[in-house]
Amino acid sequence: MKTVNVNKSVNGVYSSVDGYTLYCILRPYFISNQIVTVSFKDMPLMSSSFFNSSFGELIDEFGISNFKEIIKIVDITNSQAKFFRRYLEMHIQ
Amino acid sequence: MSTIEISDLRSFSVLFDRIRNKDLSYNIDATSFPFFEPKHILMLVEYFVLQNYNGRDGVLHLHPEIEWYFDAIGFEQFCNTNYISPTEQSKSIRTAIPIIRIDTNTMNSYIDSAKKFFQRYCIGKDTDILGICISEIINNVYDHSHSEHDAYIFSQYYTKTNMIRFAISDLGVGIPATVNNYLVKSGMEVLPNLEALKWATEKGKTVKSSDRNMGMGLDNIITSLREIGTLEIFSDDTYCVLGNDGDLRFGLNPIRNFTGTLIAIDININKLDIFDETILDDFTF
Repeated sequence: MKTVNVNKSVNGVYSSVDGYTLYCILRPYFISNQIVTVSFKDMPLMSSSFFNSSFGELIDEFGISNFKEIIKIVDITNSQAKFFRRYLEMHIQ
Repeated sequence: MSTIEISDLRSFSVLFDRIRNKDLSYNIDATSFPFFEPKHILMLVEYFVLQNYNGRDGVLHLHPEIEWYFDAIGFEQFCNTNYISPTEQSKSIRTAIPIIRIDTNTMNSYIDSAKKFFQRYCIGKDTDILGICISEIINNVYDHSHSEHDAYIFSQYYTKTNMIRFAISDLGVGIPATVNNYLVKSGMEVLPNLEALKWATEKGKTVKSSDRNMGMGLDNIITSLREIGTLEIFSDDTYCVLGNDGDLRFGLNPIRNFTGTLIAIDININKLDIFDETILDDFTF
């Protein structure tokens, strides 16, 4: 299974431009229906803009069920998990 | 040249009246101003940057005991060099990051350096909240404000209270106008300005300046700051404050004629979470 390290893949986790970069990296996995591990190692807390432009765009395009099947998140701290779940919940409301 | 006296928060009303009327040929006498916080400094910055941008000259008179501070934070240097585009500052001071003109291109590096800078005062504490607050505000400026002069940010550490205080300001259209422009375009009724500000702070409310906006930004800041800090928003004729009790209160802006938006945040370092690198064994959505 492939692993994408977010912190090494983008310049930062605050802007929508960087979020779009991550979206572009992850999108092919959804197209080919291939599970991908996404590592949050050494990553600071992401902004809501970054989430919306990356994971949010993938959810909008492929659906939440597909998203949960394809994306496996690892190396995530308690704090990161709290924010990620908050953004996810807001996005799918 | 005439002089405007700035002696308290409300007296900034005169300053903003001059900004609104593009009548920028004034010196500022702030010799009796009791204590400059980042928000006060940024309001002065906005005036003098605009003055330079319009080819006018003016002098800021300060109490002799604080002239060194304004010099150390690069006030004059910033106002004289940043009115066209961002210019790096050569000034430095141990407890503050000099005033910066910031945009989404410089946001990443500013947040990284701000976290590193304040880490010395936040030993063992999680400073990621700084990145959240700064990035959410800057993203809002760029998505919604139509500010022609980017945004300005100034951050200061206070030893006695163990607090980080920073302010970000822009001279854009302001939150109420942004909200009401969206409501009108969407065929909805215009809200009174204060109701428009409340609307903007509610989770999920977005003016959709871009498709990716989901209305999380301000709510994210407010939720993150509850229990660890306070927040003030000055925008057009509206004001809101998140107090130490965690309640969000709304009212009229004490500064009449206010232009744009200014957000001032205090973070109590004593209340920051301990930095915890523990990785969750198993993350589920």
